[in-house]
Amino acid sequence: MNSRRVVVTGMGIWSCLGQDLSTVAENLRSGRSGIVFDPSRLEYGLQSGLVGNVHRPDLRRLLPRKLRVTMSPDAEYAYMAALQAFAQAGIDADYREAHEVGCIFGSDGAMTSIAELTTLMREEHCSLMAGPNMLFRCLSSSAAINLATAFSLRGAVLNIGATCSTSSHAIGVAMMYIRQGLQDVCLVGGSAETAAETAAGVDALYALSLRNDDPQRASRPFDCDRDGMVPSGGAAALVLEDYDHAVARGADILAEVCGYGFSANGTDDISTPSADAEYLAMQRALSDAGISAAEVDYVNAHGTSTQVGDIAEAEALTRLFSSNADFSPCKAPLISSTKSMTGHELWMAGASEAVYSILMMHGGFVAPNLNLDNAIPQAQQLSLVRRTIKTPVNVVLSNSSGMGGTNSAIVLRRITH
Amino acid sequence: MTVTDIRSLFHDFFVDRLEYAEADLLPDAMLRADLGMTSLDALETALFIRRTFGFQPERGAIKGLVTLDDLYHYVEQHITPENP
Repeated sequence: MNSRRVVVTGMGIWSCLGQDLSTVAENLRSGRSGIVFDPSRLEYGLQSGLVGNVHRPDLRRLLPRKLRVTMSPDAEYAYMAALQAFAQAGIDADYREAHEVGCIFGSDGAMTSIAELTTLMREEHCSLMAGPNMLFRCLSSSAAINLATAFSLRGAVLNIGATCSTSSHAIGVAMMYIRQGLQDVCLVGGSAETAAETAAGVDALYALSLRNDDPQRASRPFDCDRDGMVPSGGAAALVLEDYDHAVARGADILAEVCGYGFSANGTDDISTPSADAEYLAMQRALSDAGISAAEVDYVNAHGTSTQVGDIAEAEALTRLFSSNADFSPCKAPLISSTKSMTGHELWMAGASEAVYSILMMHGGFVAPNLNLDNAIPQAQQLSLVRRTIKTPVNVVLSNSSGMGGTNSAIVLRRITH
Repeated sequence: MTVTDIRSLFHDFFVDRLEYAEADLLPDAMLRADLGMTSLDALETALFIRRTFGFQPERGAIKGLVTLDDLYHYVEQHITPENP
């Protein structure tokens, strides 16, 4: 088994907390919410009008038409995030021409385009009226394939879809590609639309917050008064790279991705999370990293602000950190859910939360779990962070859990070279 | 409808929709070599013809044309009295 180490050499973000790393870092530090109320979502038919305030990029000055017209909205976000990530990594067009760069990106649906196509077919009754570019906007893999063409990539290009743990899995899978020597460099990440069409199915589950009159206090993970998640989206991208390769080309190393764990619930309930399975994924990630629970400085929790999700995760975290032999209360890791600020970024959440965690690592702080007035009983033993804390962050466990019972966790470690 | 009329109707489609440079829209401009028309652009052009001139070009017809003038004349020849 090849034991190559995998590091992050570039990051990019396009989210409701900002459209560049420094703005997002500042908003994380100051605990600023990116959630707004959009009345058009109620007119559309949703019960919840809450959403992350993500701006659609104007790509006309950045890309020729032929590369734009095949992009779904989430592929556009992904392009903006990837552009930043490649720039930070120092991987330019010449490098991509001379080397094989992969792209393992996460998305689980391009609902806006599918709704557009469906409406058009019902009105026109002729597929030709959809035009030649529609197909590429409707695919779940729209972000991955459009990134591959926009950046002329020649490595492994694939989409990962695993509901809300999608891009955490994407990071884990890319890490394995690099560890095994299949790729030296891989763009990874996730992207999600904020469209009402995407939120409709979740709204139908009564899983969205109805705190329409108080958007910035609507997402309240682990709080007794939580009433559901807030849908959000955007894109996050990271350049993962073999450590030796990164050192050889003189790249700045932002962090190491040193552990990946996964599990599935193994039950017949598609929408109920499992504490046992989440615990297993996190334990496997720590084991893969060779890191004990006591060494974890910070946990970026999945923390969606849903009734059942937060309870299961709190139980899993409590077990993970209290059952470890070398654990003591003074070594309890700080825990927060950045979804309290961003809402649930869906398919991009695993990647965006990796980016947020690395920004905290480099900023020497832990961002707060906003709106945590009264923690749920299951979280009483956890060190949930209510206000920003200045502290060294060297080891991060980032947890993700998706509907259908697909769980993923990754471990990030600060390294110097 | 004359070729001049047809050229005029295509103008905004080429400039605004396909984003071809206005200065490149010369009668003898080659669709692929000069304008950069891709296979997807050709399909989009067929859709524009259907919407604007009322007939559906045969499969692959646009890809088989060489210059802008060829395109304009192709449309002129296929416009019917029902779809002037």
